[in-house]
Formats: sequence, structure tokens, C-alpha cells
Amino acid sequence: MSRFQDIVGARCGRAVSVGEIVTLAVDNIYVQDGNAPTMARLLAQLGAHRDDIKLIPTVVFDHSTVAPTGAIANQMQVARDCSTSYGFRVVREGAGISHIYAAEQGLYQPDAIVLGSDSHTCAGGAFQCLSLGMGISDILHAMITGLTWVKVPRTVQVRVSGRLAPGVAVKDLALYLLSHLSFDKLVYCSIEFIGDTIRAMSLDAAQTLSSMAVEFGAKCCFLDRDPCPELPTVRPLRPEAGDIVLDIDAASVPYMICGPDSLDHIATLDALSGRRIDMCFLGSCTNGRLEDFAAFADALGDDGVADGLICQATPGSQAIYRSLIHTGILERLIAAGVVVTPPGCGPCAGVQGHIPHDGAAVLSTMNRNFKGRMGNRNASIYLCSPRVLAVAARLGRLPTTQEVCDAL
Amino acid sequence: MRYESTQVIGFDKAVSTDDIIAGKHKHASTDPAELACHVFENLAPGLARSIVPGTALVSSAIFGIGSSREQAVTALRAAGVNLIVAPSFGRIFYRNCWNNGLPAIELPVMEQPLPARICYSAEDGALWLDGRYVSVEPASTLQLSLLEHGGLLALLRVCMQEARAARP
Repeated sequence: MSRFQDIVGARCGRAVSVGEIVTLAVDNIYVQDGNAPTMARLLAQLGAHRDDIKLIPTVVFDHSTVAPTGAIANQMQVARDCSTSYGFRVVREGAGISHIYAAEQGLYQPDAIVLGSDSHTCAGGAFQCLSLGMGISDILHAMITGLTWVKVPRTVQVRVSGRLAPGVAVKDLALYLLSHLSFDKLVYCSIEFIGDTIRAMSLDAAQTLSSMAVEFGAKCCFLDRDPCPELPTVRPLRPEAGDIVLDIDAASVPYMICGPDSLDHIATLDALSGRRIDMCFLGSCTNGRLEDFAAFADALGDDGVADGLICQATPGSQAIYRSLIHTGILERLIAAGVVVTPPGCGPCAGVQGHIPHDGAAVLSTMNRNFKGRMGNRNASIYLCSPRVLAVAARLGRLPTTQEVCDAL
Repeated sequence: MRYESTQVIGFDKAVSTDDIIAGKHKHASTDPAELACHVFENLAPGLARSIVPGTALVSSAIFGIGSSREQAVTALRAAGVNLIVAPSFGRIFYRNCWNNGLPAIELPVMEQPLPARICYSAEDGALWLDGRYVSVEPASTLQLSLLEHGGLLALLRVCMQEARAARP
């Protein structure tokens, strides 16, 4: 029995089968500002009143922390006015990325059912929360009825055992797994990540992996965790709850890189070493946490960012931003020439932060690199881990594995 | 419910919802009619001008991966797309299609050359490709209901009105 079936079966009061469509009560909803204006439009079309809303959402302003254009500013105001008039919980610009905020505020709880108007809502799997990304119509349905329907997915398991090599990060692991599993073979599956590597991960690292589940095509994911002070009620996943589609030794994972335009272009770092880099971005819901910033600062060392290279860093939340101040990491980044921007999604979706110029090669810790995603279709986006990013920022080019190891 | 497409546009690589509608547009406007002229701008500039009412999109690779942006569907509908056929779909995009009354049909293999016309019967699970019959999964009761009502919003309006009537 998979964790998905466990959770849904408990809600339905009976066992559920793969492929079955069930209706479930939703525990929590959040909406990000990319879809909040559409939420406002659809509520107006419906003629919905305040007392029609059964489940109050949390509306997080994270994609456009600082509105980049007048048109977007107007949409943000529409979303703000709507949220206020309906009595929704508003999380203001600067508080952080919805998924990181959700984690910090305890919205992700083991066995809870949480919907988010963003595909990276799967990040809740690090907390064994059944957290699903959905389109705004589905979100509205859950807001008004308190319910959603789901088709019970097939569950597969990915086992990772042993220890990652020093300096190799969970982001490298995620890219490595994707290179083997691709983005179209596990469509609609629930992925259970098991093995001692998974159980030993910090919560920051676990969320790096869980945030990437959607890039595998998955509906959701669950990470095998042992109870800990931060997560006292998690339970081990059942062994053999699904076919094991990949079983690896963590020590075999090298530093990884994803080439432009598609997650189909993942390779070991050395395959692309030497390529000039014009812009670096540290952040996103995948790598915008304190551990990511610490790894970046450590690998950057005392050298500054390479001449002519733009390096932007966006903390994932206000709490993380404050931690950067208290730990002295912020001072080190500033001294190195890194441009640190207010907490939020940063330039990931092309509506907040530095837009790359024509012909720019951008190296980023984001989770996807579709053509034009950062606001310019004439720029190329590469993906990597924070440590690889730091060495690239110093050198102005993609480093070799040896150069990243030397930074340890 | 029957759908007829008199123009077919093909895709031979995976298509993301970023490819369908760029963030800079969907964050600036919620009007599908305004977004329609920007579809596929990053992937294939100018393609939007080719899309007319009754256009089917046919892909030989997964379609609609990535972001949950429902604007990808509403913009395509506003542009005139009335059917999408692919071997598989991004999970959220698939759901968004049916929620907006746009049939997204899974077909493992589409033979080349592409047909000039496609007809689809939702209840029967039937596709006609230039008149040649191909069997696909019949639409579920839920999917048929979404098509009949024109989308989830219409169903939701009924739910809302029933809930209001039931309140004291």
C-alpha cells in the first residue's frame, strides 16, 4: 500500500485502488501572485460572495515581489484588492516563495492534503504532505466546495543509498536521477524516495529534491523520513509500496549540469566545462534556502564574482534573509559583488529580477530552463547546484569537477 | 459531444506551458483574448497567427509539461484551438484542458503525414483522422460533464447556487 493510498484511504474510510477517482476534503490552499489576478477575475465571473468561500486560501505575493512593469503592478493590485475584500490571508511581497513560506509556517503536515496554484507545490512531499499543484479553476473549486477530486496514481519508488561525495549536493542528485528517469516516463505517478540517503537528508536538502518531483512528470512525491524534532509525526514509507524504478549508490553521483532549453540535456559537469557564463542566479524554491546560500558562500570563498558577470542571489524567504544577516553570509555576498534581491522567486519566471540579455549564458540553481523562461528567448539557461554556481561565478565560466573539488 | 478540427498543427518535441505562454504575458493580463496572440512566442515566433478557430494541435511527444499556468489553456482556446492530441500530457495541463472544455486526447502514435482534418467523439472515444477511424479512451463521466457545461466554472456556479439555497 503506497503512502498516497494510505492517506486517501484513511480519508475515504476504505481502501482505494490505483486509477480510481475519489473526492477528498482539502485541508489547506495557497495561491501565488501569478494566478491570484485570474482568481480575482474568475470569482467576479462567478459572482461569488465572501460567504461562498468554504476554505480560505493563503495568497502569497512571491513571483513579482517588486512589480517590474505597470501592467503587472495593476494585476497585483487587482489580486490584493480581491484578497482583502474576501478576507483571504495575504502574505505580502518580501515574505518569500509560497512553497518555502508554506514549509516555514507549518502548512505542510504529514498526511495533510494541501493544494497550491503552482506546479512546485509537490515540495510538501519532504514533509510527507500530500501536496498537489493545480490550475486556478481547480483551486477555486476547492475554495468554494472544500473538496477536490483526484485519480489515485501509480506509485513508484526511487532508492538512494549511502553517502553523497563531499561537496556533491542533493541538486546534483536530483539532476542525476532525472537524467536516468527523464521527464516523461513517470507522468502522473507518485514517487516515493526511499533509502538511507533520503532519511539522512536535512530538511533544506529534502525540499530541494521534493520540489523537483514535478520535473519528473510526477503528481506528487513522498520522502522516507525518520521522526525528528522538526517532523515528529512522519512515518517510514512502506517497503515495496511500488516498483523500484531506480536504485543507486549516492557515492556514484558526480557534479551535474543541465544544458539549455530542456531537462533532456543533463550531463556530468565536465561535459560542458569551459563554457562562458554571463549571469549567475542563486535562488528559487529548489535552492533558495540557508544551506544553499551557505554552500554558495563557502565555495565562492574570498574571491569576488568575475568581472563582467552578473550574479544575483534571492533568498527564499524573509526568515532566510534574516539568517543570512545573522550568519554574516549576506556581508560576504555583498563584498563579493553579488546582487542580493528581496525574498521571492527572483528572476526564475522572468517577471522579477535581472532579465538576461541577448546571447547571455545564464547559470542558475532553478528547477527548469525552458527557452525564454527568464524573460528573454535569446538567452540560454543552464542548471546546477549552489556550489557549482559559486565556482562558475568566480571563474566566469563553467568549471571542471576538479575545480569544484578544489573549492572544498 | 463532437469536435471537428479543420486545421492541424504538429509538434515533434516536448512542449512546456512556458512554451505555450510566457510568464511576462500571463502575469501582465488575465484576458485570454489578449494572451491569444502571444501563444508559442518563445518556441515558434509567428505561429500564433496561423491558429484559427477549429485548429487541432497534434504532438508526437509529451505536451504541456511544467508550470501549472491555466492561461496556457485559456489562451489556446481563445486563439481557436479546439482539440489537442498527444501521447501524454503534463498532469496539471491535462486537468486544466478538460476544466476549460478543451479535450486533451491521449494517442500513443500519430502516423505521418498529419491529417488535414480531425473529428472527435467524446462519448464514444472515437477519432477520425481524414475519415480514418482510431479508437481512444472514451471520456469519463466527469470529463463529459465538463464538456457539456463548458468547463469547471459552470459546474462550480451550480454548486455555489445549491449551497446558497441550502443555507438558512
